Amino acid sequence: MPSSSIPAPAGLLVLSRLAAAVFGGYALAAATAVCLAAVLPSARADAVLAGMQFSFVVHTLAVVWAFSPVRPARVWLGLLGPAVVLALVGWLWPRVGG
Amino acid sequence: MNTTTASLLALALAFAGMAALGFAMDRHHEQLTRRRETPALRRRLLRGLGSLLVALALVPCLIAWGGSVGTVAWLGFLSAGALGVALLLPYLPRTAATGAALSAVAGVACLGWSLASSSLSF
Amino acid sequence: MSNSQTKAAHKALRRKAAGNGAGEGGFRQAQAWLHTWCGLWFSWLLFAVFLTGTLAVFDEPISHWMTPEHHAEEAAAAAAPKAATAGRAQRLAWGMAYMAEHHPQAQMWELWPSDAQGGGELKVYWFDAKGQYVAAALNPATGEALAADTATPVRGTLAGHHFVDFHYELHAGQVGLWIVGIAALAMLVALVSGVITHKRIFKDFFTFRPKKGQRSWLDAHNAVAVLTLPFQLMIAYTGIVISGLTFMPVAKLAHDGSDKAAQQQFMAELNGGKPARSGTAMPVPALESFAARGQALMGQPVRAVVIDHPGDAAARIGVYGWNGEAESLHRLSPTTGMASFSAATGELLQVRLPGAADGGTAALAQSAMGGLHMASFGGWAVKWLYFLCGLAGTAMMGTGAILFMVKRRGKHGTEFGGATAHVYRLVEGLNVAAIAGLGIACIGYLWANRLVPLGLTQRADWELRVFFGLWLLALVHALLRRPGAAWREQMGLLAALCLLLPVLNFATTGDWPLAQWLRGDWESAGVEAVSVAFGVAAVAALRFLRRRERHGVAHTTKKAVRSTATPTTAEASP
Repeated sequence: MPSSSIPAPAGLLVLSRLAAAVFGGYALAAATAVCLAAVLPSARADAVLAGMQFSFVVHTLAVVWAFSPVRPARVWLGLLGPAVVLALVGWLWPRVGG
Repeated sequence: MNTTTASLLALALAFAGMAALGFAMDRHHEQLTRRRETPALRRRLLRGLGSLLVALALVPCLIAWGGSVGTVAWLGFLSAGALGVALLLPYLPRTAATGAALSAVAGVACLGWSLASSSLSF
Repeated sequence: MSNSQTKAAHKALRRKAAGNGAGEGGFRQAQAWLHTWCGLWFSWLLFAVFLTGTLAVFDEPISHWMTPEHHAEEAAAAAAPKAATAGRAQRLAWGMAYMAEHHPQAQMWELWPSDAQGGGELKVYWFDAKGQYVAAALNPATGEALAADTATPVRGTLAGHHFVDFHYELHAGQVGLWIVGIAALAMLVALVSGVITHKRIFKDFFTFRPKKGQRSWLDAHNAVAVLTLPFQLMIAYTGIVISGLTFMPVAKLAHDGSDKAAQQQFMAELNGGKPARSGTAMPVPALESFAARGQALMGQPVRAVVIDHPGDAAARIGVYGWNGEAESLHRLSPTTGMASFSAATGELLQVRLPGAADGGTAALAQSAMGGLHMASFGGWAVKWLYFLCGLAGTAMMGTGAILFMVKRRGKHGTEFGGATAHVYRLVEGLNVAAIAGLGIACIGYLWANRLVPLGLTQRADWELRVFFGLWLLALVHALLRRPGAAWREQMGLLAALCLLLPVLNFATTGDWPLAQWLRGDWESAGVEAVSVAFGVAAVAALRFLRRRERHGVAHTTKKAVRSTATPTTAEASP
């Protein structure tokens, strides 16, 4: 039997989930905006606008997902992980000549 | 077609269509007729009619407001019609039904006349 | 047991748990939790934002009602024979002469020669040394600068704009903007989680069962939300996107950093690309020929002529048009026509047709979404539809907050541990203050407009103080009185203030609805009619509250009678 860790107090878990939803969600949304701004083929100002417009949909869905039956730790990972990837893509794409 | 006429037409058709869709449901059919279930044929008829009226409400909107604004206005009239139906059904189901029937007839007639006369004048 | 089996067992246990916490139970249950708490904590703020936003749809008619001195002025101006004023060419020449004489160093001159019919005011705008956008009005008959105080003294008031400003920034600048933005995102979350939670969204589409207590409140909450769902999603999202670059500056920053030049380049791209100075001096050419060419290209009468880098050889002249009724009826995007020329060569640089946007698809979408949020299209019918859907959205929030307490009244909950009773009491009080109290504040603002003395310095601020003061008093009252009494008393006051608005107007200005009708003043008549309608609704609410109170009393009587063993008939409630 694997050892089960002592569960953290419920209040802290909710706070962690909330923080993930708000800040992790914002990070994911921001990364999406950066990525789209870099990747979309339209003029730069237009791509920036499109990225911004789409980011709020991402943030909303991120918050909704953060409060689904998933452990808070997984929520953090599930939001920050893709955020890092998208931010990287957004940063590298113009430099790699995309 | 000016926006006032279009508004009245769209509202009448939307209300009638939403009412028909509502009466197709068992719960609201019971409010009207005290029969537990809507007979299958009547349900199909009401659903079809309701959908048609709802779609027809788009026509005066497109004529008066063009494509983009017209679609937005149409959605607004659908909401207005649906709210009216939801408010009437629990208190005055018969009024809702009669009102819907009259609105449907008047709306379709006026719409048809309006389309015919505008095509005649050109 | 193996590792994965244990994990599966734990997962199953979690699912089965009486899960009423965050992320517990099944997906729908977790979303119900999210909807309840995200909804509740933002309900009072969002109610205020929504109600003022709904009123802001009619900010101009409200402003008209709130500035009665204007009516006499407008009537006199309409009746007076048209004084001879100069044509566009002369007006433009005067404007240019004024700017060349007084502000030759300004980087941008903006001239508004006339209204869409070629008459009206002549105004010029520029950015002063401090970067502030300033204006001067010139006499359209002589070209002389008008002194600032020749306008008829009018009561100092923010008028309808108060509702607009409160709606998007709570009269609190950037901080207020962010608070409203966060609330708007919370609204989107509540909408999505609400749809997920609502199992029978199609079956219960028209369902409203009155007189069934908690069920009725839930039905009402669902009905106003679901039946106007496209509007609610659109209005929340477009509200965020309008200020989207403020809320999500990262994409722009990632490219520009703090490089001012790059930032200006970004704004320039969105504004059609303004040129840099050349350094060679060149007087600004006569503007009339450009205005005429612009008008022909746009198909609209000239609204403004903007000169970038006046006095420089690289100057650009932009001609902007007036949107007519046809444009606003048919286009979501409120942008006007624009044509821009090189001042030196007269070459046409850019044409933008009415409704189009400078930039690509996203820029057009941005403009259209701004138009969508502010109902700047479609005329009166669309405004009334927005008003109706706005009220539905307001009701969605109000019924939600009330439903929260209706579910928990009389129950000894432990949601907040030992403090639960206190939290519930606070929520009850906040509900009254946020709903009835805000209503009192809004109508009280109109009462203040008629009652605050005219000559008072910073009169507009006093009207605002009445608004916030009434709201604060309502909160104090709601926390001090029992919830039932607080609701009845505030609803009664609201009804009185709304119903008596036309009486107030008559007592203070002598104007009344029949006179308004006779002179075709639909705006004033409309404001008073809607106020009376709200009053009637408040009376209906008051009757509902009184009925519920009587029922409540009868319930206790029945209980008391039953508990004594004597078989007397219970006092029936009416």
